[in-house]
Amino acid sequence: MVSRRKAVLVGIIFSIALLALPRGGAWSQDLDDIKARGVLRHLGVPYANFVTGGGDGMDVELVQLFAQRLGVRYEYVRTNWDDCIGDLTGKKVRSKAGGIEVVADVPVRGDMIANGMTVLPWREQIIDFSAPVFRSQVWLVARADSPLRPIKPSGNIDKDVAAVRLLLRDRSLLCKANTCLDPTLYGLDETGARTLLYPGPLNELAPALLNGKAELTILDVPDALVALQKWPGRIKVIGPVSGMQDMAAAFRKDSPKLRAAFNAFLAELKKNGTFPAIVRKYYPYILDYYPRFFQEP
Amino acid sequence: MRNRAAILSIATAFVALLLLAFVSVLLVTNYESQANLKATLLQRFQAENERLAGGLSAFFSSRGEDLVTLASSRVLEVFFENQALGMSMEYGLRQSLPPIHQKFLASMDRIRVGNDWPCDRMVLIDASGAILVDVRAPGGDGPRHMDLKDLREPRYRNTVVLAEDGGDEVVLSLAYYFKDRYAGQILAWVRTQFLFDYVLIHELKSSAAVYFMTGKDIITDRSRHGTVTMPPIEPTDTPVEFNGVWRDGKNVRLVAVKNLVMHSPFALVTVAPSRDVFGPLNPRGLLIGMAVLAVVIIGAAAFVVRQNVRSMVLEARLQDSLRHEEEVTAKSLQMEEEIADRREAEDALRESEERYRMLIDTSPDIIYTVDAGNDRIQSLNLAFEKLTGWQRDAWIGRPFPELIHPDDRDLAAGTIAEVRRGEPRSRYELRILTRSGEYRTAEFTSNALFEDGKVVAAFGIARDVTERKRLEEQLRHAVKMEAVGQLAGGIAHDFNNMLSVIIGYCNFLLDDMRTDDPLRQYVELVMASAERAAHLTQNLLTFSRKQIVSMQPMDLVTVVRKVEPLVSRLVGESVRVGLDLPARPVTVLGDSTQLEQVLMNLSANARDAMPSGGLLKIGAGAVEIDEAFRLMRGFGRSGPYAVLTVADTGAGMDDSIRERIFEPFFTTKRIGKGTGLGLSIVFGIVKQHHGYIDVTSHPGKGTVFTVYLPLLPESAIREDEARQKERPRGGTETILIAEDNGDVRTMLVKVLQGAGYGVLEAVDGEDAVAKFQMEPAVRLLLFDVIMPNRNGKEAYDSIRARRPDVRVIFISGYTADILDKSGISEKEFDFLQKPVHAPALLAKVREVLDRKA
Repeated sequence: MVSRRKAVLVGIIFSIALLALPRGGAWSQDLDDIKARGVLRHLGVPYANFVTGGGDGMDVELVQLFAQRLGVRYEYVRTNWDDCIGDLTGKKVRSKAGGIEVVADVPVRGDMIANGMTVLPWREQIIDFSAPVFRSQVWLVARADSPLRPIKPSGNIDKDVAAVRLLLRDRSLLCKANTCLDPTLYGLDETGARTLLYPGPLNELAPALLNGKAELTILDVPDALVALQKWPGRIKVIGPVSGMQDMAAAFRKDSPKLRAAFNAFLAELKKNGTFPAIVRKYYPYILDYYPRFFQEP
Repeated sequence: MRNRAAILSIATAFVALLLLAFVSVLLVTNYESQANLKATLLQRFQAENERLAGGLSAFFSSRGEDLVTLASSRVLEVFFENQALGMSMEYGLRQSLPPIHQKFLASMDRIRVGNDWPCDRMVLIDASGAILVDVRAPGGDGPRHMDLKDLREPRYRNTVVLAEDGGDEVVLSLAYYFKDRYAGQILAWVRTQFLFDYVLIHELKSSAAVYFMTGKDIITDRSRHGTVTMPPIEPTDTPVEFNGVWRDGKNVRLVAVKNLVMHSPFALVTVAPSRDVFGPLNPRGLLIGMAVLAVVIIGAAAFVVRQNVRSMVLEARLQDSLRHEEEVTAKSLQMEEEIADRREAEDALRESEERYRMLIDTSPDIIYTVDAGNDRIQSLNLAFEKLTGWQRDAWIGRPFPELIHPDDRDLAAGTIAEVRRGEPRSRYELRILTRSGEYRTAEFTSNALFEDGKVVAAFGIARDVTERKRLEEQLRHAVKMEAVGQLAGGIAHDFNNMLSVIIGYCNFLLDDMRTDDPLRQYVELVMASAERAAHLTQNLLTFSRKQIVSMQPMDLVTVVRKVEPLVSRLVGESVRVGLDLPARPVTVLGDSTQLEQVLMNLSANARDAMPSGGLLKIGAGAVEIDEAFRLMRGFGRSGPYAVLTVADTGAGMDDSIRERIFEPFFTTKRIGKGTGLGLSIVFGIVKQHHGYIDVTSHPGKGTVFTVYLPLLPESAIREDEARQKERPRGGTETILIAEDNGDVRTMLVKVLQGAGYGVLEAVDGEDAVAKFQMEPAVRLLLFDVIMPNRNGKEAYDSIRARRPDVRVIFISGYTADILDKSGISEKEFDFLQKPVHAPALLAKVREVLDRKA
């Protein structure tokens, strides 16, 4: 009898303790918390025209509108490619073959990442992505005076990628670790290319190529389009090294409501034409490449 | 009664004759007046058609210029450049087409009138006839189908106007050439309806019908509803009259005139009923009337009155027409004067602008304006092109921050914000991107440009200070080097004297010890430490370029193996040391102790980067520096090089630290934990060995230092060893030693006497001169340079004045520049650096004594 009373008492104390714990863990900051706090923190890496670093950008406008919709204040938190996932989740990670490795615990600084982040399997292990916001692909780019000739498209992306990979043997190739331009993602080390990991920012790959740091580099489509516009006639696209990729906003895995709210908001913007208008403002020509992607709900 | 009748008849006849004469005179006058009036109206009708044809001609000429402007635009060139590079539409080439699309649309939009687009389609086709860009006016159905391949015409280097079947459209066509090869055709469709609605009908005051004609074929008549039947109009520029069917279906007298439209294949024909052109004029009818009037004399008065009234009306109309013509002429003159005045004013303005532009463009500094609203560049002068290599046009309209180094953009944005508030900002530096991809530093001064009290733009001057900054940096570095040199030089003398004694007496001990003496190893350790201490001093001097190193061929592999135990002790047990050495020697010309120092310093650096332990890997090998290597690394002279690598698995470093690690006194360690000289010494040593040092590092991924030294053939060491193995010979000549340090002097005496020489000792320069006078058999002087009373050089000069054949060796522990000030240069005199080694001393003494005069 006494032991049953003790068991009931222990059960009550345990239940009270559970209720007293913060829901969702120490870092949990879902939609309700953000609304209560009154501010949406946008983690952004200055990159291409997604986040220009000058206070605007396609993703900056998108998240500003989202904050407006939620009725909270917008706050931009600048980060970099190495730290952005840690700033969102509190876990600093790095990619390794077939997965991720947690390097350290760090403070959480933001509620969502939006800066043209490519949806990659290793990233999906620690963060959730929204519905696709941008369509991309990774292209091999060379200086205009390079002896390499661009491939002739076959109509089949896999064949095109194979044709490009054959050109890489013994060529120096500038890549960027822990991003969508990480050579391990596309097995570029296996092509015989001499891969060089660029230590600087992602959007300096094209200038580094022009400065002769390597014979070749890889760029995703948004960055390649910006580079073709900035240096007309000085660089050329050889062909693709990847299949089609999607870019999306990223959320903590314990922020499902926030992610769902963003997806609903995005669908509405696509439907009423606001989204294509924002895209056209920052990437006037991307709609020519993927017209259906940006207009279909 | 009869008389009365006769009188009446006569009177009547007379009156009738008078009346007939009077009416005849009136009729003749009237006929001439109407004939003149008709000729005048016909001229006006013709002039009207000429004016309309002129307007059409100007329109086609202007559209033709539009196509030429488009053909010369950069966006077309970029597309064909990229196509020539081999790029495909799927992968990047399509990116070049939207700018052309925008350019075409802008050209069409520029001549739009309200919602009416005169040019409703523009197309760019390539040399095969495939459509690259097809721009259509909003809302328009566009022209009928036409096989565009047929419109390829490489001969059309100037715009030509083509008539399309059916007459709804006119096509303007221009061949596009890229690098002197036919690359495609630019085509623009112009709606003929627009020409009628806006160019012709607006101007046409009468109700005449207007036609386009090509050859004898009438293209269209859109001016009014209904058709006109008429024969072919052959002559041009001359009005013709004929009978035809007017638009209301009635047979009438018509008048027509035809003029050619320049810059087109068309002629313009205006047709109108004669009555509309001439009014009720009919001179021939008047002649008939005169006959009738001759018969009906009685009614002549009334007819004449009526005719007179009509004549008066016609006269009034003619007068009105003439007055109107005079007014038009007067207005034309006034307009010509105004045009002349305006042209003069424009010329003056253009000259003023030209002078201003020349002033701006001859400025060596960049002068620019930036839109205060959107930070986009509005203008740039010629200095911008000289400084950056960019074309100005490429940057006009682009955001100013894109031109600035990413790290400086916050500063740039801040200064623009200040200027936007109307606050001028001066003397701040930003790095500007050049066409080569490098950045140049410019000193900016910015001011606000006001318009109606509001800031509309920021304008300013940017001066290239890159070279000045580089010189300042070199000066700072030189000053720092000088300070280190002063410090090193100050202690070098005393330190080297002490080491001379230690090393000298160690040599004596070793000479006197048996090879199996148990104490021998301690002496060797003392000797080795003293030598390293001596080299440390020399290294510090070397780094500050105040020491002359003595080079000899050596094997890098041997150096590494020798240093490895010391490195293992240096890095501690937590760091594993691995060697990656080749089986064959890697020969370089170097100072072994200095190269050991390089390894020790790099190892110490690696140890500090791995506080929790790790792997330190030292490797050696050979590499060929060629053109490809130089392009990749940005340094090196072609040729074979020895490579020495020191790699760790430590914390690594970012770009900002990597760029500064070789700077003197730069350290990331806590105060007291590092001098900041370790890597600077490495750098100095490598440079003195005519080599290069490279470092690659990433945060969290370790660091690799790579030293490149000129490679020697393996035989170089063997030859040098053979030379060194020759034991220095002694002698019996007399040598005068002058050295103020007693310990050193005693050691020198002992070495020379041990080799059989006769030795005299002097404590300073003055003492040396005195001793020499007492003993003229002296063959050689061994003088310290810096001594009290007289220094070594002064004492030597005094002795040499008496005995020109006496020979001298100077020794010193002071730095090279102090010796230079004392008049001793190594090139001019034989010289030994303290601490002096016994074998080196004996070899040098023998060499100088044996040298032929």
